[in-house]
Amino acid sequence: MDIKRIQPLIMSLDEIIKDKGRKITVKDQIDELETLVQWHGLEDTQIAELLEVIIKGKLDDYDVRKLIKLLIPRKKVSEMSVIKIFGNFGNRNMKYSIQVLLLRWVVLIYGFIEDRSKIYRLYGVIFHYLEYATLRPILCHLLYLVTRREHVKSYRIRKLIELQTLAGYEPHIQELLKLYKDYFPNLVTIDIQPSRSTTFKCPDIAWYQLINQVQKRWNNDKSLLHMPLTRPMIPKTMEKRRKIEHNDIPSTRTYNVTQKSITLEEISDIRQLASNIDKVELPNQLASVLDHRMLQHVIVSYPERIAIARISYWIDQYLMDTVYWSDQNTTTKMRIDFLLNKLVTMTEFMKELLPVIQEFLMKYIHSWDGREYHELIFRLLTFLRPGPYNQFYENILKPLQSIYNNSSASWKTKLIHCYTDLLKYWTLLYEGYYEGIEQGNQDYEDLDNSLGNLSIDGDYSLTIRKFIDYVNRTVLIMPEDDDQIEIQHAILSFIEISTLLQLKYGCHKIVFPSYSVIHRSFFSTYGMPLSRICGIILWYEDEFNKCEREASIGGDTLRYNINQIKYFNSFVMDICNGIWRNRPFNKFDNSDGFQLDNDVISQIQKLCGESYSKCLSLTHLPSLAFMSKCYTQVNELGKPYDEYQVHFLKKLQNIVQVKYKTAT
Amino acid sequence: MPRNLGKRNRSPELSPELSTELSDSFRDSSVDSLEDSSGDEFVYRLDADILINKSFTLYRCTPLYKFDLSNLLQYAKEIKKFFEGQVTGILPFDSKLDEHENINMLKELKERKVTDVVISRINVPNWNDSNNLPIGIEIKFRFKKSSTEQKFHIMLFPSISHGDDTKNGLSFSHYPLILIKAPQRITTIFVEWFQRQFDCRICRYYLESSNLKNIIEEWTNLVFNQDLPSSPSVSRQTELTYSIPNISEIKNITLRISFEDTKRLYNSIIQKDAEQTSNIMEGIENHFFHCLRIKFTSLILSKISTNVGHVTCDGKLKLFKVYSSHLTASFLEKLVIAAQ
Repeated sequence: MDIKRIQPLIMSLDEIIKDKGRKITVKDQIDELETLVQWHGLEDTQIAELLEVIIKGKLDDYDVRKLIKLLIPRKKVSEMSVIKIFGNFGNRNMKYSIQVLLLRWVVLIYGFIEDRSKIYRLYGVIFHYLEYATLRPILCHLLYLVTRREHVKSYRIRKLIELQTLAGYEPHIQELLKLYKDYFPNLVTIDIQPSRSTTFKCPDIAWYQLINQVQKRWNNDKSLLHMPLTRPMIPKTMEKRRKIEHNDIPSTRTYNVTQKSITLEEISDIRQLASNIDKVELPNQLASVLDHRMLQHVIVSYPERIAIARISYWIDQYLMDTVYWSDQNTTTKMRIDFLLNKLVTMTEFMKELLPVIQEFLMKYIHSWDGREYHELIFRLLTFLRPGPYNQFYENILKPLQSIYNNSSASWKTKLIHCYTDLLKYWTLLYEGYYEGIEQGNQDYEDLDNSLGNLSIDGDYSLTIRKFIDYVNRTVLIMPEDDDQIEIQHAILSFIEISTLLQLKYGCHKIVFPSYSVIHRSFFSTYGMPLSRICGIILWYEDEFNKCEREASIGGDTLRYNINQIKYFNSFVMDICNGIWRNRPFNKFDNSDGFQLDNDVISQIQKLCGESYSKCLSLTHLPSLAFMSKCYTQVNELGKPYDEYQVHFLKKLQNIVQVKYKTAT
Repeated sequence: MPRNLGKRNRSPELSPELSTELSDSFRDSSVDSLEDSSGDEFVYRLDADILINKSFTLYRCTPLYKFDLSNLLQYAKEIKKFFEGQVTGILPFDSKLDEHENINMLKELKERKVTDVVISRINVPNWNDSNNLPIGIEIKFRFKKSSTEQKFHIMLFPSISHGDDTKNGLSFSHYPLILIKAPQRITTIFVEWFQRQFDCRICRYYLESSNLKNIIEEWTNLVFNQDLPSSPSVSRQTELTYSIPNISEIKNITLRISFEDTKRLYNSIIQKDAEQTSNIMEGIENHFFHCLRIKFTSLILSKISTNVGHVTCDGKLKLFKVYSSHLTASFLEKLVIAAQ
């Protein structure tokens, strides 16, 4: 296939149509050209020449159609070729069906046009031909691609509405109106329902693929491949879906924009947002932030007081309306659930709770049954802002405690996890505070949260310490019936976080875990609590040593007193006496016999008989007995320690499998 | 939550002279409406009488962002344009309704044409803050085939305590109470425009049983207050409707008490109880308990109707002319306070 044959063939076509006397037959030339063009494509000049042949209208329709299909660009297309087509809209020699085909070609190669500035200026000309019903669908598609903000004028909107009134419902006009509405919602006052599918589809898939193949073969610019034939779709929730989901959140629409405005409706990806974030016009209804991640980025970056107030008023009324003012039927509950979900998503993204949500929670918790929306409520509670302890206790801790007392183990676990997450959140706030101190900024007021003047005024280290103390005393007491592994895990997680907060950041006086937690972890039938409580004790021990060293060289005053050391030593000694020294429940040498009465200890002694001294040892402690049994079995066979590990793990696996089967 | 709308206390006593003055001022607000003023002064193009003898639906509204009283004419134009757009638009405009409803609505609306939209402040007599008056909106429709004109009214009542936050540099104006007298479809269009224009949220304002009881107290005190200049010529019976939850056979019970009986009951309570520890609602409910052995205190009072007007717990309100001069402002102010 000789690429050089293309030019002579086009020339010969041109010559043939100049010969007025003969009947024109160009079938052979077109067939030959077809084979060549489908591989090589056409140069820009060749496209212009071929267009010239087509526009002259000397060939019959069949040949013209075949020639148009051969307009396959090898590289970019000059806009003059496209303008030539526009210039022949009124050409009587060209049938409308041929004009439609040419316009389809323009749509297909729109992405390959070199410079579109002149085409933008011809917007009015293209728009004018919308009157022609045959051309209208493809013209609308083309206008859809060409339209910029400056093209949207009220007289054009009126014209489209008028056309729609005259011709009835036409999806392509709707789509164009929808685009206009995206640019200027205040100008397009009619309501346009979102369509399910894309109105403007590829007008000829085979042709489009052929163009892409040729481009791929000849064009190095990979970005041009598979140029979209529609604009990037901005995801919008369908009205019907919104209805099913009980989505009452307003849509993100920006009215009253100017020609220079950049609205969120135009921004389709995060890069575009990042480069325009300081110029973006806020939508008219800011509550749409709840359902719009891009807008959440904008609000977090520019948390103006007014913007926060606008969002807060909406949320406040919605919550009051659905939770307190309306009947609690299924629909209302679904609406509340939907909004709470959105609030959680937004809060977790912003890492902050709007004050209006905190106020609602403080009110709602008092009448909460603990079950309704509990997953979402717990997630919101983890972002509560620290405040005076008494207020926090009255509004949050006290009502939650009354629910806690009558709740299942699973609910209790969730609450403890919620407290743990809350403590983590406060720790993060504190980290910022201490970083500020290190940088010489002692003013807590400067710790502004992003959500507009929501600074935490006052030092709430006392609140945090009292909170840890409260949870230790009240929540983590592990009643017998709740001595379940999930609760133990939750409790130990809280203790680990609180210990780290105290030890790593040194921001509070030291608060120890309650004796009950230490006992229950020690006597647990699982290895996990024992291991973790020993780890926690080790952290404390390290910290005490560090503090002592610092105090001896004239550092800060000790953050603990002698009674606390006695308390700490007593449970260290109890554990050591039990596990390592075969002296369970000893009450000498700082140990306290796990605070058991002598009568109880003597009863245990009677029960255990000769093996009393080993009853809490490394081999006999309930949580370790299984491991030691495995080890003994392997040891008796004279096998190495590695095999013991394998043996133990296999046994453990069997147990887990059996437990799993029983559970299912 | 709605707060208590009324207290047990009697209405403020009015001297005959003052009362006449108030009645006149209420009537004369139509004269105000004719007054044209220039400069910063407002033109009262709507009359406070639009509140009377019409069934309004109550709505709550959050503070309006960038609502400017000097732009009322502009707002009127925009509302008109928006209504026209919604009516002339080919597609049904209310996506919340099903297709059939939308088609009917469209047919009905397409037969109408928005002829005028008027927005102005309304000089409600005795309104507590003359600088912060309610705002009325009148939308006029004309049927295309006939010359019949229909008017729909929307009234916005300003916040009592907070005033206008624009002074604090926050660009918010608070009109917590909205009264709308219009079909649902018109209301929907209006609410949509208002919400998007001023970034507010408008929702229905439901009243609680206790609110209705307080209103009855207040209205009865007003009607039988002996200090009033003259008894009204119309003596409507008092009507109380109680709804019964969870019983499918009986939806509600309505008690009708003649004007004279209500008056007798009121007087007997006044005579027996000089310190006013018991009230008229208690008296009525006790009386019917003795007669019917039904504990009305345990039921939900859902609708009340007296000489003064009628109110339902789903937020419907109608005020009659006879006592309007004494009651309108104070009653609406209480509703506003409860809505804030």
